[in-house]
Amino acid sequence: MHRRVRRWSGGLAAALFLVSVSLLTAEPLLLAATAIPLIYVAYGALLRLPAGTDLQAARTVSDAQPTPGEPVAVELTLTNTGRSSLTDVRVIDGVPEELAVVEGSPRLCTSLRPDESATLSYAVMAKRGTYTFDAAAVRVRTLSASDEVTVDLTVAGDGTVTCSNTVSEVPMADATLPRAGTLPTDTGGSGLEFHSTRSYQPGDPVNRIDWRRYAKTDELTTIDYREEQAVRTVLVVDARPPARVTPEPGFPTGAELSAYAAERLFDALSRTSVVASVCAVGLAPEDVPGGLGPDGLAWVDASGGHAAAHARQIFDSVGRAAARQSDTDAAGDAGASEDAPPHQSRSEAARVTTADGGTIEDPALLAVLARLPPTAQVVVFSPAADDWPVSLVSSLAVRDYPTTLVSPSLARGDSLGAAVASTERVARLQRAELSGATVIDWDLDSPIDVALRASLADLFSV
Amino acid sequence: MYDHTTLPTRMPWTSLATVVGVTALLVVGLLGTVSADRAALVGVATGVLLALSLWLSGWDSWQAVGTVLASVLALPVAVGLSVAIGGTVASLGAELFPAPSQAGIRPAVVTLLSQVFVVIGCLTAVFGATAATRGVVDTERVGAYGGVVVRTTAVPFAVALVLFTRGAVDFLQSNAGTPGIQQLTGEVLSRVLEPIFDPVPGRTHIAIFSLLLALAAMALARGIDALPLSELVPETSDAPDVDRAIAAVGRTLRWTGRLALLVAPVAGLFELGLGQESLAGLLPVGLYELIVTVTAAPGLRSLLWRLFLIGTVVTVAVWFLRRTVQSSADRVGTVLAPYVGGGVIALAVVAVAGPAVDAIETTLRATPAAPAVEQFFTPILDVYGPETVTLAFVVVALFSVTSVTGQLWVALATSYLRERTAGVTLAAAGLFGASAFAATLSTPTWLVLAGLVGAVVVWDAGSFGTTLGHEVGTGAATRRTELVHTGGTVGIGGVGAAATLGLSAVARGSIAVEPSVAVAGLVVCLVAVLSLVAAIR
Repeated sequence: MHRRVRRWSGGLAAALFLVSVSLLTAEPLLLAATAIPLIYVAYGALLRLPAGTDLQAARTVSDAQPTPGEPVAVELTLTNTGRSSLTDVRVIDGVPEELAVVEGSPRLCTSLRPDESATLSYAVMAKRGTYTFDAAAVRVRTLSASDEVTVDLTVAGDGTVTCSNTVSEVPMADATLPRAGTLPTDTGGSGLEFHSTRSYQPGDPVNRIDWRRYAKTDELTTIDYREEQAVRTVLVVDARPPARVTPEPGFPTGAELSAYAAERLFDALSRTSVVASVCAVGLAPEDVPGGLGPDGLAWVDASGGHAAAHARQIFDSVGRAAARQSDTDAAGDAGASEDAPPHQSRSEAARVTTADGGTIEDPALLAVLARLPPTAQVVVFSPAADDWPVSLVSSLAVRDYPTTLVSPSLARGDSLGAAVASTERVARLQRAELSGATVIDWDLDSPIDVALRASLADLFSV
Repeated sequence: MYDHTTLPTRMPWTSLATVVGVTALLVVGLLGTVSADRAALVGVATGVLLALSLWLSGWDSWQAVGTVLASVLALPVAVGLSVAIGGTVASLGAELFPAPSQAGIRPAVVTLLSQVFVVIGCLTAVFGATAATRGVVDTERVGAYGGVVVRTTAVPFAVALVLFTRGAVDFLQSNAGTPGIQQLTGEVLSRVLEPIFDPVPGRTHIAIFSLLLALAAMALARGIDALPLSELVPETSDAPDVDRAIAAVGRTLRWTGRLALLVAPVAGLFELGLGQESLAGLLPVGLYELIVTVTAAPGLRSLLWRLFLIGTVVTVAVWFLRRTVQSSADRVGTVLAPYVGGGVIALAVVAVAGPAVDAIETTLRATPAAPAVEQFFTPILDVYGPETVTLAFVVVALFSVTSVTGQLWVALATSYLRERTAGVTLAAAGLFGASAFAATLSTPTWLVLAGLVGAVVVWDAGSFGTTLGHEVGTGAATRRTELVHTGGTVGIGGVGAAATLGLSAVARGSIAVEPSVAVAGLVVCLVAVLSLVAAIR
């Protein structure tokens, strides 16, 4: 797009002003000085962009497949392939709107001689999903800035950043049970692994009698094997508005990180055939394709068909809710209250007793407790930005559910606010641990897999 | 490229340094040509203060504090503006006048005006450059500052008006005996005021007394209604029944007022129609004397007048407080601050009125306007007192600030000044004007040309930098382009200056033949028209 900018026409007014003052004060120098503004007018009017202006751009991305929360360095090189010098070249790289620039600026203004290049370096914060860079916007001006051309320049090189986890990457196999779909217990019975021996009691299966011992000692003894019970694992993702906090702009929110950790674990469990259900708390009906259940929860059972696809939809919904939250942040707390799940009426809400004897009337908490199957392990994913996950964990402890709390640590920076938030979170995690849950404190500097591997062995070997 | 970007529009550092540096150098150079040094320096400081005031009035994080400071700074700005212009005129007037001959008057006037314009130009340039550093000249901010100055002026203006009215009334009353228009006005005033506050003793004044009584009763009733008395009493069973008592008092006062209002015309008719003798005959002696004593007592009148004032003041104050508590603290601070600032200014002016008036008088006496001082200033000072005169000066100066702000606002609102480049445009315009007028003084030619080119460079670097900041932001590396662009502008200016010197040399040769200069001027105008056509195309 070509445009003329009339920025020097004020010179005519200046010339007329000088003529007036000159006539008023009979000063010939001022009359001659009208040459100054007039020459500027001519400068603006006559200078044009040279024909054959040509630019080329190439982009390199340091890591095209980063993990969420990792800064990705981007470099855009602009080369003047035309024959004339360009005194004023402005370029804005087409950074995807969703990605925040965390270092440097994706904008540059420079002068380029023929065959000279300029490089623009910046970094964006990776988020879950695939993002494509747009064409770079380039504006070239003359020296007098009175003639300009704006174009969308197609950029060669890297154009996409994909930030997702694929099943093949999951290093979780060694962290979970070698025997698929079962949880070994401390009670003896039928199974594969030896547990103990005891005196024969009438009715014991014949194939469990220790015949060798009978041959040696003439005593009937029954062998007990370690009983293996099928168990369900429920992954609860805390996506309520309080969990959608972010330590700095462009960084994934606590809810998104929780969903990410849950997705990693879900993939690992799927590979080992553990029956895993996924539940997200705090989503609005419009976030989830197909809406929420009647109890206000987004719940996917492994027993249904296409469980993995449905679970992935839920994880994506958390990202959508977080994006919507950042859009409506300006609207204040009103948006947050809309995000709350449909509340049950107070009369329905039975009081729930926690480990410390307190009572809770949170509808989301009640819905989770009501929906949990009687035998299940529960893994709660929450940034622990408020007391809700602690209440949930202690309520689960009261009901004898083996519980794990996975909490991404969001505190970054040295600000006073970050320090207070971090201290509060540590206190919450301690309370969760005291109530009997296994707590995984995920420091974002290390991959979630490392944190999970460190603790999951405990989880699956009760 | 996104033209609707929300990036900060602050210009990059290189452009800003160019604008500020060139402006500072040129202002120093140009002010060197002005003889009135002190006034020129005050002008420069006023420019900075005006920009600071504009910034303060749009200080979002500390709105109330910013408004208070902007309001208090209105006085230094107003005084600075007056001193910069008035001081230059006064000091140069003393220097240049009386002119030695008739022919010397015109050059003297031109010199005087040129120096004044140089000072105004430098003031504008300093203001523009200072404002450009923070981008504080925009319609909203200028409007807000205008509102602050108007509200700040309100209190000194009201005080000055009251003092002036009192002085005028006293003066006119004291002149009742002297002939002419003063006698007439004095008599009219005496006729209006005496029956109200100082009635003739020994006769009844029921009508006017009733009117005063009605006014006082009504105002008191309104005042009592407005006071939150019943809300202040604790709501306990043994608390006194204040509500009923208040209602009774209010009712009594209202009825008293109505009754007095009814009595007034009837009594007036009787007093005027029947005369005092008949009235004395109609009424029992005791009652008549009582009425005479009560209605003609100046003390009672004064009491009723004060009760009326108290009632009115209470009503207004309570209404104001009720409005205040319903608003947010910041809003209250912002709205009240200018009045508080105005009050502070009024008090300060009254406190320093004596020495200030002496200083003004001494300065004026040193100028050719000394006879006018004797003829007008001294009598006015005698009649109204130094407080009123100083307040009047301050109010006029504050009005001048309001007027300047208003003009700036109109220029911005009508887009004659673009908000984004308003600061640099003002700085460039000020420098250009100051340089042009400096040419008529004994300024070296290089300084005039440097001033003219420098003004263009200031505007160009500023507007280019602002566009750059708007399009690529201050985070991007832009120095190289800025330097190249400014270098180009300076180079073109150099060519223009060389052309000026050449033309000037030609003109100097032909200066004896004046029509040829006119022809040269016409040629330049022709070139201007052609360039205009080219630019528009």
